Amino acid sequence: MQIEITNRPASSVARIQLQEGETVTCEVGAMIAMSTHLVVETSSAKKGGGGGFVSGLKRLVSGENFFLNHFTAQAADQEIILGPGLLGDIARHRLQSGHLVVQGSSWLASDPGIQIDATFQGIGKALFSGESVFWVKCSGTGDVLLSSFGAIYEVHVDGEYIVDTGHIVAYEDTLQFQMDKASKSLIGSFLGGEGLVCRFKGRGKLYCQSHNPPSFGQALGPLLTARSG
Amino acid sequence: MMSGSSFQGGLFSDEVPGKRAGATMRLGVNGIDAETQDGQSFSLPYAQCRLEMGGASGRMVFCHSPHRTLTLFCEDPAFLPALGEAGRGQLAEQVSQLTQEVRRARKQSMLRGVLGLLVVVLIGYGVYRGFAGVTANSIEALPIAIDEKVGKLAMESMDLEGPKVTDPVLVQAVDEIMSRLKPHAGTAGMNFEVTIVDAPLVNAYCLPGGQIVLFTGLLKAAKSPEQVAGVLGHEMAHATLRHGLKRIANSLGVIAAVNLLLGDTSGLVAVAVELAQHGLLTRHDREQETASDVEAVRMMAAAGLAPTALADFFVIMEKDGGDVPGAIAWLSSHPQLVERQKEIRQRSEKLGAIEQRPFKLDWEQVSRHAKEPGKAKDAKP
Repeated sequence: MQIEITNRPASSVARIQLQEGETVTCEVGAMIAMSTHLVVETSSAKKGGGGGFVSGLKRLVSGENFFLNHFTAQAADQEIILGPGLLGDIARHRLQSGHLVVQGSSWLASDPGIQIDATFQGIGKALFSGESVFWVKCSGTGDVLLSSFGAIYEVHVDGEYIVDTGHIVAYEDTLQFQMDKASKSLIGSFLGGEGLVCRFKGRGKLYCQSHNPPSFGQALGPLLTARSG
Repeated sequence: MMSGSSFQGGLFSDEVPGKRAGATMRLGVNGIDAETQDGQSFSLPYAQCRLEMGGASGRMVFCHSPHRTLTLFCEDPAFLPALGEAGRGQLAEQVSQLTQEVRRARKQSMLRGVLGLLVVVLIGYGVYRGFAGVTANSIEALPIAIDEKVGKLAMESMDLEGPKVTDPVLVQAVDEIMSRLKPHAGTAGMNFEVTIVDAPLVNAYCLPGGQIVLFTGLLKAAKSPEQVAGVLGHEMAHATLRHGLKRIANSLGVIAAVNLLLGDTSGLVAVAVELAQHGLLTRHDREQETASDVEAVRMMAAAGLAPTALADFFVIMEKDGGDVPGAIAWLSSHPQLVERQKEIRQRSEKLGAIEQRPFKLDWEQVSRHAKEPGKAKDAKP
């Protein structure tokens, strides 16, 4: 499987080349275009079994779809183009060991060997991180494609790093984050417009997005005219 | 976990592509040996190993070399205890410290979780009470005509569980009791109407607007007209305090609060009929029962009747409940009798001496007629 990400960062699409028998698993509705000799199989389980109904439910509560689409090439040199629902970027993460924690709705596609599950991050993070209550947990070996709202930037954390709420896309399992104030004073944190932030500790890769949908909605909402009729 | 002292995990090193690799770790005699999936080998002597906990789960063990040029990590729960025992206990002290830290962190996390949950519950309760307050205030602002409409519709939809009684002895006795209580009702202009039903149930209930249903079973069980006055005063208080409407509004919840604020009462009427059909409209909570007792005590005292008569009726229900046929109906809809008796007596004492004007009814005659309404030989009052 060969992956090429084009049109970055605002309108990114992933162009994936598959050889006969190769499969890519992706989010329902992510396919933009594809060659004619690709067959799609929709199920709640990962390709070849594993997971199933419970995994589907877990994905559902984490902000993903209950079903997964498995596209398999029936001939050589088949192509599929995938894209996220919102305007934004796509990043490729090579998972070799452990797991990757992905915010709900940022998982776009992965190798069929990757298990897609959900994980609970705790009440505090659920309430204040600006992300979903449940997160997607990708484990196994293979490529994972991540999508975002706005551009994705990758950070190699070694020590501590701070990200504003609502801007996390994904992070490696060797990282841990806690909710914290943006400045020493809680009042100052809120007056400065930053409020609470996510303080990461440890070592590993962190993917952040330049924008977040709720802020965009808040900015856009007041400018929209009321629907008539 | 692998066989023996081998564990699946990973490592960070500048020497592996991407600086991170999955690895199999073995606890040797002098240190941890790690081999990546590509066959690269690394070794970290126990003497140089600095342990740390972290990772997304908070349960990942990190083993750092000096200057952190090599970091091994593993999330297997058996890894940390195994490290404590490996290498003749060289890491035992660090493992012990980390174990304590983990326990402390777990306790703190649990405490934070419980506190967080408590805060969420308190906020939820606050919101609920807020809406309940809005609903209660909205009910108070509604005209009595709404209560009467709801009560009339509820009465029509309810099964009375027996024929209506027209025995003049019983009707006039109840009218006399009501005429003493009505002038002292908490809400002026409410039309109280008592329907006597021939059924062995020792019970009475009041629908919104003042429609009271009184069973002959209760007239038989009561030892005096004052006791019946206590029960009727209590039921009248449910109407004047508008407990029925509040019960309906609570069933509607937030929607009721919003609708009532907007002046829409159609939902109340629909739910009243529904609740009445299931016998739930006349069930009140502990708070409402107590409020009605308090109001009944006030009304009794104002009417020149001993308020303790209500408590005396509770005693009959409590002591002879098992022997009085149908008493279970009153007991099921009027719980916590012992505490309520105590409260009624305490409130009566606080009122001091009352100039009592007992009823001049022939209660033995009333009791006889209650046993066989319309058939008793001395049917004339």
